[in-house]
Amino acid sequence: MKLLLIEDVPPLAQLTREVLEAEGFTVDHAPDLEAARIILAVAPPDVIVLDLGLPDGDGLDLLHGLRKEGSAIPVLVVTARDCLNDRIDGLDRGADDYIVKPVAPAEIAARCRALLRRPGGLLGRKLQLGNLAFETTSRQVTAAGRPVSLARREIDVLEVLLRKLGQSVPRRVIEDAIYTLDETPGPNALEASVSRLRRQLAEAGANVEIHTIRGIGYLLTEADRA
Amino acid sequence: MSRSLVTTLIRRLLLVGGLLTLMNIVFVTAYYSSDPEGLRREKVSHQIDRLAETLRAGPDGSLAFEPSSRLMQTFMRYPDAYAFRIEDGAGHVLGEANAMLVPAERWSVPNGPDAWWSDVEVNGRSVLVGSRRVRVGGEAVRIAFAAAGDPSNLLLFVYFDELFVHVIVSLLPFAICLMIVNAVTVRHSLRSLVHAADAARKAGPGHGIAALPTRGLPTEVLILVEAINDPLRRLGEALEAERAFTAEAAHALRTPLAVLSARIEKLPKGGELDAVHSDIAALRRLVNQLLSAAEADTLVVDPARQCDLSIVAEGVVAAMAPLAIRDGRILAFEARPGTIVRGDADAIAHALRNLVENALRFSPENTEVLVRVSGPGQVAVLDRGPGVPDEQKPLVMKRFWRARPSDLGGTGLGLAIVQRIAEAHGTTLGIADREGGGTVFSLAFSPHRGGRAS
Repeated sequence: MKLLLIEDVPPLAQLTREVLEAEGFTVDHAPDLEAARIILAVAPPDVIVLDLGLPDGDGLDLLHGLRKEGSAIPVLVVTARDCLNDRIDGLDRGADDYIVKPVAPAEIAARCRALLRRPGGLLGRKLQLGNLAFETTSRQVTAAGRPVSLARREIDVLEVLLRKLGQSVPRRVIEDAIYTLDETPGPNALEASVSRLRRQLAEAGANVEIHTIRGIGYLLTEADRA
Repeated sequence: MSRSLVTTLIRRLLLVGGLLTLMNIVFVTAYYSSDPEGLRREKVSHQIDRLAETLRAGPDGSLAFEPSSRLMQTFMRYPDAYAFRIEDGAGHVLGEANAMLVPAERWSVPNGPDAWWSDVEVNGRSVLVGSRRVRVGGEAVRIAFAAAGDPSNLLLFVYFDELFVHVIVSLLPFAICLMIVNAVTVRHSLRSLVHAADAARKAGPGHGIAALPTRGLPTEVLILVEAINDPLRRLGEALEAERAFTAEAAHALRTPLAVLSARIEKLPKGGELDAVHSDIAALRRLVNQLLSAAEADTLVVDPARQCDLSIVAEGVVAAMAPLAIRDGRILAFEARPGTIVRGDADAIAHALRNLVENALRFSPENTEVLVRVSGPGQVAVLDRGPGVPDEQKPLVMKRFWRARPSDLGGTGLGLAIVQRIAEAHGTTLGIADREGGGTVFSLAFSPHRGGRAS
């Protein structure tokens, strides 16, 4: 996976780059907006990590220009900017995710993988967590290499949770994704699906856990907390 | 105790009005006391006027004397002090009382002057006799009045009568007008001062430091306001410089901290290094919280801003649930939909994040931290932690105060930031014991009436 790292502080760029490469990304580095524009023109990346305060301008302008051209490359904004109001500005301008410095490079890698896991993203074809794997094209679920037989509804729920790995998924987001407009799910239909999915995954020996966040929705994590 | 300038001025002007009236009374009194003869004559004239009013012209043109019993009372009570006699043009007596007080020849002088006064000696007493020709219904009538001494204090009546005419009738309407004009003028002149005071009051906590408006102020007040504005401006600049320094210092710390953090991440895990990781995480938190505190200090909430409290709170819970689960805590959310409040969504979210972080830190494993949106504009974070002892409740909002100083994870800034954000919204952070153990941290925002959040 090709990643463009736009970061002006040399030691930080170097260290982040090393961690990202160790995590399996192919990293191009641009220390300023001009270099970034050249790389974007000749070798478009799969994901961009963008620092906002750059020597030759504001990273948000680059992001804005990119979105105006119709580019859908996922962008993770990393910045030392303040936390109360800038966040919304960045997301409004087309950032897919936002992270405030100082941040551990491993966190950057995790966020980038989450962005690529979105539908249409490079990692969107095979979703994986622990010993659980989900092939989005064939919709085949395996646990520790053995196929798990699930009903269509449960597979739909699992896909939504896998694509939003590490995030809380509001129940209405899941409902919107798994029910068509014609279907009117009963009040406890989703709970029933999740409960069946939990049981079947446990029976199949998958080391994942579906947490209920009361009042919000669900969250999928690896069962063995590291 | 301060008193309203308007009240003071009006009170003083009223006092001046009262004093003027009093002086007038003293003046009238002094004038009449300097002329007792004139007053005596006035008394006679006054009585003649009263008697003249009792005469009625009948349908045939003849006059009738119809005195009221009140008038006659004076004459009946003091038969040897007061007397009168009324004669028509032909010399017929229309009415009389105690006429023997004065010898008959002294009463009637039909062809004498229109009005006369005379002091007569009768049986060794001095009697004042006055007579006047008046016309009633076309008929000429002569009315005479006599008084020996003044047992009924008729002189006093005359005095009060004079007082009434010269003080009450002439001065009172003028005084009332003056008081009304005074009150209106005072209020009107001080209105600009009241406006300036209102503007100053609005520049209270949560509104930043702003210079007071000087438009439309009279020169005397303008000098005062400008004298206050100058230090206000400097205070504002000093505050802003302090905030900017904190913000810039925290900001400048971030990049080296990020470099340090990235360098350490490259080293093999385990042992001492895990401790270093958590130290760096604590340092990172402190830097972020310092920056937040500096931001919160100058937070000014636009009164027109509004947001849906339950959507804001839901977003915070959703974002923090993964952290809670990672640390083995349970985060839950309860809300009624459509709770629009006046306030800044980002700032409220920031306050809630701090409250949830705080609750998660102090909760035992596998207990629930509940975020509940209820009532009009109420949001609360409820935990099952050890609770906050009453003597510590006022302390928890102090900067850098920590319940567990040995715990490097806490910065001691979180609740101070929440309190500051609450203040900027015109509310305060409530801390109460939770039934069954734990603490309830609550914020009450003012609900927005009507309309939806934009």
